[in-house]
Amino acid sequence: MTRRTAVLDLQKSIDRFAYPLTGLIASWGAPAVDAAELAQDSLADAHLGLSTCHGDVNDPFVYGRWLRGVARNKFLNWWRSRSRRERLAAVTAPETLDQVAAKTDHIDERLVQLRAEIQRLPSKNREVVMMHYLDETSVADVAALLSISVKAVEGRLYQARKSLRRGMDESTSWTEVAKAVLL
Amino acid sequence: MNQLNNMDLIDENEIRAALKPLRPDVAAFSSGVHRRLEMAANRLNEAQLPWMIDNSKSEQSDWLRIAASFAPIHLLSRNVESNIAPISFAAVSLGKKLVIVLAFPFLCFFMVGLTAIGILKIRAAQKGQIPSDIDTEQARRATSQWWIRYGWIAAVIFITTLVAPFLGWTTPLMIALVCSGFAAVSFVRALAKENLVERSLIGGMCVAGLGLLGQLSQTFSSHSAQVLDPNLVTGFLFAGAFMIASFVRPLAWDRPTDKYGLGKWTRVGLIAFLMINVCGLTYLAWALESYIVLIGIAIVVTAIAFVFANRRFRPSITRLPIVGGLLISGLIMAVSTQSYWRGVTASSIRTYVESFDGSQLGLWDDWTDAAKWLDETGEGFDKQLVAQHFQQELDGNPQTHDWMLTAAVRSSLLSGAEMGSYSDIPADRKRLVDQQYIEQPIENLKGDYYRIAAIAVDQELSAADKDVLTHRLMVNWNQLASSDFDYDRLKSALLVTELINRLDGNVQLKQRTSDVHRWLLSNQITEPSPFRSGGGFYITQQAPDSDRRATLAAISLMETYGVPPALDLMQLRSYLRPNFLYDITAFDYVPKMIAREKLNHLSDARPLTAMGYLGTDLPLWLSILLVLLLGYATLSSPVRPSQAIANNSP
Repeated sequence: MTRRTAVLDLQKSIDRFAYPLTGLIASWGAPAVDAAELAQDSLADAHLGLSTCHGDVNDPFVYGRWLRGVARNKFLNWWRSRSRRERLAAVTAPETLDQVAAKTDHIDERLVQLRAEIQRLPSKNREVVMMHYLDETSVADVAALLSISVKAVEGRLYQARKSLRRGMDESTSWTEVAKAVLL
Repeated sequence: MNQLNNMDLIDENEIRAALKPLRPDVAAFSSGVHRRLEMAANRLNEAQLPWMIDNSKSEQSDWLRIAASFAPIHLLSRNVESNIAPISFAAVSLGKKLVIVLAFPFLCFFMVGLTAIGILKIRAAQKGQIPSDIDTEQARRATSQWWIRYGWIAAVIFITTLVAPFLGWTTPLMIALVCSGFAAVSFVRALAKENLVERSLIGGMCVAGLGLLGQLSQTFSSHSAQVLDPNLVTGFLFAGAFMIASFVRPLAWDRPTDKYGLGKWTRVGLIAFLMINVCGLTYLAWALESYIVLIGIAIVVTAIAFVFANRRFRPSITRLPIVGGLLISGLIMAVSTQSYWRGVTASSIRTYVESFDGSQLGLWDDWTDAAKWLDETGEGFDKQLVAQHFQQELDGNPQTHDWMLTAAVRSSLLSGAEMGSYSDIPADRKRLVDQQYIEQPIENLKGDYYRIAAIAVDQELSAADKDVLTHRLMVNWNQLASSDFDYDRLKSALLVTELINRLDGNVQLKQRTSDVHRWLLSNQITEPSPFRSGGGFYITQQAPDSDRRATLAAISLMETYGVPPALDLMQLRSYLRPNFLYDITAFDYVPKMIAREKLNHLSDARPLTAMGYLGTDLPLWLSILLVLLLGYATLSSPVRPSQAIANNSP
């Protein structure tokens, strides 16, 4: 009975936290693929270690805080071993990059620029943007995962969007000036 | 959110579009999580769960790694895996470091036995006499490497053990050895729990360690401050070694299917060794005038049990080594303790006195002391018999006339009145009691002793003559106080005291008491020094060691003048302790025994309490503790761990 409940809870937690958790880890600096892997590791470990979680695990705020802690440890371990991975990546990177480049047919420069602007956001704002907009994650779930209020999430999202607009506009004007000067 | 001013904020759809490439596939994500959970469950079942159950073994494996670092474990058993990684000393915990450091000195003693056992095992295995329970090549290499690496430390430890008693460090040495023994036993027992060593091996090591310590403890006998016979230490160590050995049987004895037997030359060597021992012990038994039969039977029975037993008779004689070992241990203890139950007694002293042995050795002083003690204590001796011998000796040895007569007077063999027939009293009085010589000492005090004794009881001796004689004796006394007169000062003081007591015992008693106390304190050896016995008294300040006759004179003086408060009576007791090995052969055992008896009956000397024995004879108690400890380590260790493993294996 306990095992069945845990499975159900696991699926619910996957459905609820898969995207915001991946977004959160990506906002800390992990590439998308690694962020997804780390999110899966975190959910699995969090589920295995549920017995050590203090409080009601069905409470989103309790479980969210627990899950974020596990993810943080996973990310830190990943971060510490990055130099070893980079050495391995240096061997395989050219072929992989060629394959990836061959499959890419069109690149929207504006979206690339927007992603760059998102990376330049302050970390707290970047977290909520990537958690909320990676998919249709509710503000409440983002708030649960970050252990902050919904209002705080909304406030950070507002500031983030404002910053992104300003950043995009400045970037566009500088591009136009450059084109004018060059042409 | 979408209600906000779009002019100031970036479009949400635009952000979603920008982040879309980062979005994972939800189905793949979910299956990834489930796959991880399954893998974790598998790991838990296959690896983690057994590891948790077997977690307690990790502590034991540390001991194995320590053993691999500090002992030739391949010499112990074939059970040892060849790939056990030695552990660095820095890597072990503080408690284990302490155990290793403490145990190492005793492990060096163990290593002597272990090496001997290993060599025998290797030789036997190479000759194919018995199936080897060790890898001979690895064992040989491990042993040589140990001695190369730690041999110098072992040499330092052996030399320290040998030299320390000469420097007066017997008790610290024994404490260190017992602490080391405790740690070594803990270490070895930890190895036994790992099925690495068996009882026969532990027993062999203990026997070798005790045997070596027994040999070294011989140095304790003359250089420790014990009150009891120091040979008891040696006796307990050797008896313990035999006792442990009797409970340890060779591995081959429990292998009915194997051919038991020693090599031809090994057997011949063992027989020769045993025969030499039997001859030596038989001679000792003959010298002791007893035990020859018991010792001979015990040795022969044990030898037969160990060497000649064959498989057919083996089951019926398995208990015989135990009986033999216990018998030998009992005999060793009987020999070691004989200074107490077979020491010099009043009866033997009486025999010595009545045999007039002093005439044979020319040691009239010894004979006098013995006869005097018998007379003073009321033990008595056959004076008529001795007087006959005395007269014969006196007639046959005119050159020792004066000394013999002095001995006769001092020992009360002849009274002062009887002395009159042996001396010319008027002539002696004229020579010794002349007023003009009043400020001159009596030159030949020992030779004139009997003359003065005869004058003292002569009816014609006036008070004035007595004063002159007493005054001259005090001149002799004052001469003793000068630094020029150092040789045999205590003995001369005793003669003067005895003569003054015959004349007027109270003359200048206070000054004499003060002088005697000063001389006693200055002449006693209290500082420990190599090759010198402490506690006794010098015959002269230039003498390298103490003298038993001077010590007897000192104690005789204490009977008259009391014990100086600052005198070290404990060391004096230690000096006069029973020591059967020395007393049997020493020609001066008579003054020692009499001095000990006199010391025990001194009114000023408090008898030794149980706590005193506990404190002064610490090496003995520690050696008993060590024997018990090693016996416990041997008997509590597994008999055949390899067999136990074989039985448990599928």
